[in-house]
Amino acid sequence: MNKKGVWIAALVIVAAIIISAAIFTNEKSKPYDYTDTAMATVVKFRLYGKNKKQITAKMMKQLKDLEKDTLSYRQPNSEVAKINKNAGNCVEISHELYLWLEQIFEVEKKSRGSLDITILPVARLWNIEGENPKIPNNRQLQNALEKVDYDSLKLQGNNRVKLEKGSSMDIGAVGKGIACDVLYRTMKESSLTGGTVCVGGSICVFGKKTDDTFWNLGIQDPRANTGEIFGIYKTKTPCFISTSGDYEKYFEKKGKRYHHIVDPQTGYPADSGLISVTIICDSGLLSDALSTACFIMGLQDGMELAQQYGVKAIFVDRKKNVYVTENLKSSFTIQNKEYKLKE
Amino acid sequence: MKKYKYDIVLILGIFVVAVALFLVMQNGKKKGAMVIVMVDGKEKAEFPLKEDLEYTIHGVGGENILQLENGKASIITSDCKNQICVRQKAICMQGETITCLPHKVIVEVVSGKENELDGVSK
Repeated sequence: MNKKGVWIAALVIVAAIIISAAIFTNEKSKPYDYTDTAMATVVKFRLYGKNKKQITAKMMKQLKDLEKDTLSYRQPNSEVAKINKNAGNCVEISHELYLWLEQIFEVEKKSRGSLDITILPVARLWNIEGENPKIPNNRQLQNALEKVDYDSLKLQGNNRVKLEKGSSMDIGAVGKGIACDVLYRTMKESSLTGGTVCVGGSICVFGKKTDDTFWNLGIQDPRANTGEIFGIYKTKTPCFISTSGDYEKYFEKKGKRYHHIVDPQTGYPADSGLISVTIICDSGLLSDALSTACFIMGLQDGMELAQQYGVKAIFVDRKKNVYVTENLKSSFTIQNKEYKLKE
Repeated sequence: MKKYKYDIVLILGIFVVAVALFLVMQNGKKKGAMVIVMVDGKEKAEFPLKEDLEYTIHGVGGENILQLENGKASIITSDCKNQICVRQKAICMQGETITCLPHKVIVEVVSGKENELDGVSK
């Protein structure tokens, strides 16, 4: 072949390599989207980096093990079920669960019992997720309420706890936030460079997107179809987001909505004037615990609690007025004009 | 002339390979957005999102009716108790899903327009 031919051939090969490489890198920079179910809810991952499929499989197993071995009161061999079964006696639990219970206890105390994981006897009467939920008999409710007291779970040190006889606990209000904490640790120690994980409505954000643009996290519109948002939170730093609302699980009777977030003071669904609370902070457990507590406490007390913890918070009331903490003003924007930001 | 014949063949050959490689890479994109239906983790059906149709999903213990209309997919009826799947918004973007937990049904958009949202907190 003569010199000219060699040059032309070389140019064509280089062009082919550049085109293929461009297409290939473009594909690689796209996120890996995965949807599955665990902990009786929908789980979604959006991941960037290496070994996405293997890490996805690892995280799915972690979720299923967490539910079965630790968190779910419904699973016969879980640690929470063990505590309930042995009410009245001292039980040794894993250090991890003990630490989580310590953090939960602190929120229960600071929220003056608005968050209360011993609410299970009352929640069982409402049976919101059952086939035919109905308003419980008031006398039954008051009897069940007597068993509700966050102080009845004593943390005795050395990973030992004692639940008072007659009490029972359900860590469900905080479980998805805890799951996010566990998965965040896994992502951080892996070959992933960035990702979001959604367990039910709790989100965890890790690392960066390939093009280092903002993560865009939508906040559910409390009065629209699931998946419709009323606002977007933009961030480039890791965070955890949880939302509590009166629209997730409920039934209606005579025009009134009975939702699943029970107020431990009254035994009835919280009636604080709020339809949703979103908490953004650096802990999954805390975001989940505080979103429940603040929803029950209402705007004034809830905002005070959020400020005490220094977290970012979004409160929405029945009139679609939106109140946010000062630290959110530049990173949260309302998309649906029906919702009005109040100063 | 003989001297150049092989040069031309070689150059053309490389060019054809390059174009073929390019077309193969593009092929995935040309297919357009698709909706896949999974029941209990197994793929049961796949449709182009741009078609208009109704499809009965035979889930575990019940049925859901999937509708594709105007480039969006939604579940319009279900015999499940909680009706959460019916209340979910119609989907059309990459990675968006509608789930019916009781029937173990997941409907997902693949090869679609990239969703600008990285998650929704609810």
